[in-house]
Amino acid sequence: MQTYSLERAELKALRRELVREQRIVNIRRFFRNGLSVVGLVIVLLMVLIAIFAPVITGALGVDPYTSLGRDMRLQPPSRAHPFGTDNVNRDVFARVIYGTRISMTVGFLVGLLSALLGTAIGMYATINSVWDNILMRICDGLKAIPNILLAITLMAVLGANMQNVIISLTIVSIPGVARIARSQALLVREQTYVEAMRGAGASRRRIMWRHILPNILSPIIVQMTFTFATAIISEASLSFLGAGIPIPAPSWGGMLKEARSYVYNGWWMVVFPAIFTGLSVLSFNLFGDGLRDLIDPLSGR
Amino acid sequence: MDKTILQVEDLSTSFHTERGWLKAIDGVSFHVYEGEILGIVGESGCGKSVTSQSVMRLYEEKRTTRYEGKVILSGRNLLELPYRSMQHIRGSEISMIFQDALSSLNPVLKIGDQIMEPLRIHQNLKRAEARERGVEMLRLVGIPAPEKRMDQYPHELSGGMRQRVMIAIALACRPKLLIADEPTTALDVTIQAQIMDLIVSLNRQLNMGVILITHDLAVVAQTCQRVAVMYLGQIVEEAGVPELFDRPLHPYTKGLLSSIPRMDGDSSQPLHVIAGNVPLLHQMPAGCRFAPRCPCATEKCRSEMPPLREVKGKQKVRCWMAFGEEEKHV
Repeated sequence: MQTYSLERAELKALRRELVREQRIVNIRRFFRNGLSVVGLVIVLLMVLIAIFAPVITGALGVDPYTSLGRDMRLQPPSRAHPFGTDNVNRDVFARVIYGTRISMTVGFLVGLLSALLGTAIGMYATINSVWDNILMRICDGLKAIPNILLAITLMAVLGANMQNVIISLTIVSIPGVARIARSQALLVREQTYVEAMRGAGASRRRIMWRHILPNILSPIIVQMTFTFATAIISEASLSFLGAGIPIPAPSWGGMLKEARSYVYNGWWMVVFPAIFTGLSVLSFNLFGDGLRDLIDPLSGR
Repeated sequence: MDKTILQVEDLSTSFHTERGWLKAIDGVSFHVYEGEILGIVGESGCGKSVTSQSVMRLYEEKRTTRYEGKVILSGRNLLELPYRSMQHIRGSEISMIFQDALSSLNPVLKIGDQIMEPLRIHQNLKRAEARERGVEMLRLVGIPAPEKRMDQYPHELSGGMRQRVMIAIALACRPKLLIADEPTTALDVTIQAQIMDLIVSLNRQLNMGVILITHDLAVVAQTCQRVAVMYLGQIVEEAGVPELFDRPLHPYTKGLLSSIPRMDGDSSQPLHVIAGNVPLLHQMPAGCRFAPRCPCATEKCRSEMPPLREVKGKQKVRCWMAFGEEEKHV
C-alpha cells in the first residue's frame, strides 16, 4: 500500500484550514445579503427582549398589568412612560415588551411542533401509496380551508387560551411542512445510497429515520423560520379578533384590538404594538430568505 | 472449489407496467461455487442488473414485482423467506456493490457511521467494537489513514476511494457471496484496474463467491473463472472463461467477441457491430430471441425457442445451430 508523502500532522492542518475556509465562505455568503443580516439582527434582538423582559421593564419601574391610577389614563409618550399609557391606565411600553414574550413563545413552539409533526407525517406518507393517500388528502383538506378561518374554528372548539392558540396554529401549519417533507423524502428515497443501505440489510424504519431524515432537514429548517413568522401574525390576528389569547395578557394583537377605539385620542396605543408585530414578522421572513439562499443558492436568483 | 453456495433455478422477474406484466428476466438458471468469480455479461437492458437485484430481492414485491423460480442460498429458497429474514440475509450473507460509486454513499453521514451500519444491524456490535472493525475493513480495502477517514464525509473522498469504502461496507459482515454490479462504470480507467484487482484479491483472501456483472469482456477474461452471457432476459451461453473465448457457440457471443476493438487490428476498417437493436420487452420475438438479429437464423429459429442445453462438457448454449453442429461432430 502506498503512503502519502505529506506528514499526518501537515495533512491535518491542511484539512482544518480548508474546513475553516469553507465555513468563512458560507458565512460571507449569508452576510453579503444585507437584508438577511438586518433580519438576523432584529430576530436576535426580539429574542433577547423576550428573555429579558422583566429586566427591561424593571429598569423603568413599570409593569404590564398594574393600573397606574386614574390620572394616568391615555397619557402620551413621556420619559417615564416611553410608549404612553392606555385606556385602563397601564404602561404601553411594558405591555409591548411582555408581548414579545408571547409572540416569540407562540412562534417558536408552533414552528418547532409543526416541523416535528409535519416531518413525521410527510415521512410516513412515503411508506406506501395507501398511507400517502390518507395522510396527504387530509393535509390537502386542511389546506383548502383558509388558515385563519380554520384557526378561529379550532379556537372556538378548544377555548381561548395560549396553549390552544399554539395547538390550533400548529394544526394549521402542519400541512405545509408535511408536503415539503414528503416531496424531499420521495426524492431522497430514490437515491442509490438508500438502495445500497437496503442492500446492506437495513430495515425500512432504520432507512427512514437514520438515512433519509438527515438529508431533508435543511428545507424543513427554512420552512420553520417562515412558520415562525406566520404564527406571530396569526396569533396577533386571532387575538385581535378576540379568538386568541384573552385579556389582560399583553398580546400584541389583543392590544391592537383594545386600541381600535382610541385611534384618535391615543395613537401610541396603536402604533407601538403594530411596529413590533410588523418588524418581527418582517425580520423572520428576511432571515428565512437568507437561510434559503444559503442552502440553495440557485433559487430565487 | 466445488461447493455450490448459490443456486438460481428458473428465476423469472416480472414488473407490472401499463402494458401489463413484463418479464424482464425469463428462466435464468446459474450457480456460483465457493471462492469463484462468475461473470455475467450482456449489453444494456439484457437483464443483468435485474438478475442481481432479484437475487437480493431488492425490488419492492407485492403489486409491482413478481418473482418465480428459486434462489437457493445455503439450502434456503430466498424467494420464499419472510421479509424480515431476507433483511437479515442482505448485507450479512449476500452483499452488493452498486454501479454508481459516487452516489452510493449518503452525503450527510460520516464514512465511519456508514461502514458501521451493517455491523450494528447484523452483529449487534457496540459502537466502539463496530468502529474498530470498520477501521480494519477500511485497511483491508487499501484505504490509507483509515482512522481519519472514519470521521470524513463522502464528498471529501475521491471516486475510487468511495468505491473502496462501498466494498468495505459490503464485506463488513464477511458475506458468502458478493454481487458486484458494474463496480467500475463510474470510475476512470486506472482506478477501474485497481478496483478490479482489489475485488479479485479479496475474493481469494476471503474465499467468497463473487458475481461480477459487466459489459466489459476484457474484465471478464482477466478476472472470472466462468461466465454467463445474457441476452434479452435469458442466459444464452454459459461456459468456463477459456472455453468461451476459444470457442464461442452462440452467434450473439461470437458477435460480442468480434465487436472488441483489437490493438493489432486494421484501424482503417470500421468496428464490427451486431446488426439491429435490442427489441423492447413487449415486442418479444416468438422463437429464439436473438433470431431477428442473427446472421444465420433459420425458420426453426424464428418459430421455436431453443432450450439452454449442455454441449461439449460444461459449456451450455441456447442455439439450434450450435446443437446441430454438435450432432454433426458426434
